[in-house]
Amino acid sequence: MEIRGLLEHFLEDGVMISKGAESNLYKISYYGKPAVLKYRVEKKYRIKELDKKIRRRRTFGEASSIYEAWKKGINVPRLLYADLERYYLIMEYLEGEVLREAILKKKYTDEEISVIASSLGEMIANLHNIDIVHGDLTTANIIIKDELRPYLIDFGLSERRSDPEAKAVDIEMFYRVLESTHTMEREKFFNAFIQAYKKNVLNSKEIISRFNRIRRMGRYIEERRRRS
Amino acid sequence: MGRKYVLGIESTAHTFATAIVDDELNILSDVRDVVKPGETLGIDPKLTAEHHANVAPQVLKKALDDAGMDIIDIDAVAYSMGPGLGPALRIGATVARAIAYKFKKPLYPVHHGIGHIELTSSLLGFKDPLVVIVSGGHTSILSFSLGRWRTYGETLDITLGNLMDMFARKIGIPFPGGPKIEEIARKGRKYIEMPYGIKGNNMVYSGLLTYATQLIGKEPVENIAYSLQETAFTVLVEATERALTQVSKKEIGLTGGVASNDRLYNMMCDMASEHGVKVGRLEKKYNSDNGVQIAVVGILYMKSGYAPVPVEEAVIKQRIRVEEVEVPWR
Repeated sequence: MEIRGLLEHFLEDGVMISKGAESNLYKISYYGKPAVLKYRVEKKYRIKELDKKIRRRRTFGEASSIYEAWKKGINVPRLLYADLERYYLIMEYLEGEVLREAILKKKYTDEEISVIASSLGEMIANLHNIDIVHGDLTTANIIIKDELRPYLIDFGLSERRSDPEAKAVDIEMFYRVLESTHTMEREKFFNAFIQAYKKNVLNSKEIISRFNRIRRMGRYIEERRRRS
Repeated sequence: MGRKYVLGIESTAHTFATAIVDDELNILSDVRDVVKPGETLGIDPKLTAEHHANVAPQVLKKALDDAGMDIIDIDAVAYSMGPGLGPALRIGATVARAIAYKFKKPLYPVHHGIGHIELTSSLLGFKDPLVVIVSGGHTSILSFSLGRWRTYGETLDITLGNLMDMFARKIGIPFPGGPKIEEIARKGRKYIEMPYGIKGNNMVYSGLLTYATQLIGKEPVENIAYSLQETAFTVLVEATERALTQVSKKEIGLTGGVASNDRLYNMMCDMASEHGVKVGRLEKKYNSDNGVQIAVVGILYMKSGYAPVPVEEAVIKQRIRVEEVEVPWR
């Protein structure tokens, strides 16, 4: 049984804005300002021990990553409150549009896409430079605010990693998303993205060479046979 | 217009199988012969191919006999083109080409994974499912979009089937070890925390295998098997849930050898019920490789009017992803 407390108070006044795979998002009012409450819900399919560990680890990981990133001036929502015992966070509410939907609706010109991709590349480089990998880089986790400024959200699978391998995996996952979800825009988007990323990330040569190797690691990829 | 019949030939891995299916997807025959694995080894491609070549004539004859047909009554031949073991695939393809050439039958190369997917969808009566294939060769989450089956999540290293079989072998259980592991895991009482490998919608299992292997002798094997299963399945179900929220489908078809595991099936159901999604899995025998899955895709190609492949172009592909295959029937 979970105790009744602050969480229930927030949820009562809040409006659910999305029900994700592992958490529910509510728009609430926090000290008079619009905010987002992200609550990691219990999953029946997991055994209790694992369920609690995962919820706690993710809530903590997300809170610390967005706080660290925000301190460095990276565009992420500001962390307002975290409760690791009840598995929820409160963050600043970002007014904007999810990049995935905006691209699918063909909202942007080619030029605008390049502008967004390139600021995103710089942003991910800055994140990697403080040894945080996002762990779930998709266009659904990017919010575009005015003046085409991208904000990164959903750090639930983020990790503190300094090795080039983890950073390369982050980039490779993003590449896959572009390939499957934004097939038409992939080339333009990724070129601008990777250029900006390379320019800003430390140890770029090592990361990029690993990225190229990981790309061939999926199962049943023909290119694998030609690896050196 | 009379009924149409397709002969399906499967030979991707340890199974050589043939089946005859009609155009309403009735299964007229289903014959299989599985190579006996060595005591300590996995699949030996050369021995497997030899086995397939030896049993091919009788497996083919039995499929025709069971269906009460002669080879000339068949309307088309479908064979498994890959992915799989080259030497094994070559046997099935050679048999298929020989029949197509000698008896002038249309020939359809079939992607083995798409065979699993379409057999699952058709037997379960699912129209537009998210398909989760968990076997020794695949661990993928797939959904149909823009003319093709596409991968929404998959293992980045070993498959779930590999994980179970390799761990089983380390504790002295011969292939296929999965069912035995499930039995042992049921007696587990203590959960030991193990590496939890999720990367977006993708899974990473090799670290888990190493970790579990190192615990052998230090912890009761029941607890290791239990924790290994719980961890591996939780990762898969979480990845499936993530994919599900992205594509919003109403059905999940679970297939492949590991789909027979009740714990995995129940976890998948628990997850899906929260989203109002139905989960289905096939009868055990259709989770293993078979000729029916190949024949079913052959029927789908034929009914959609897709051009068959000339004998000289009927190749095999050891590596071919589902995304590379056009799907004209959906």
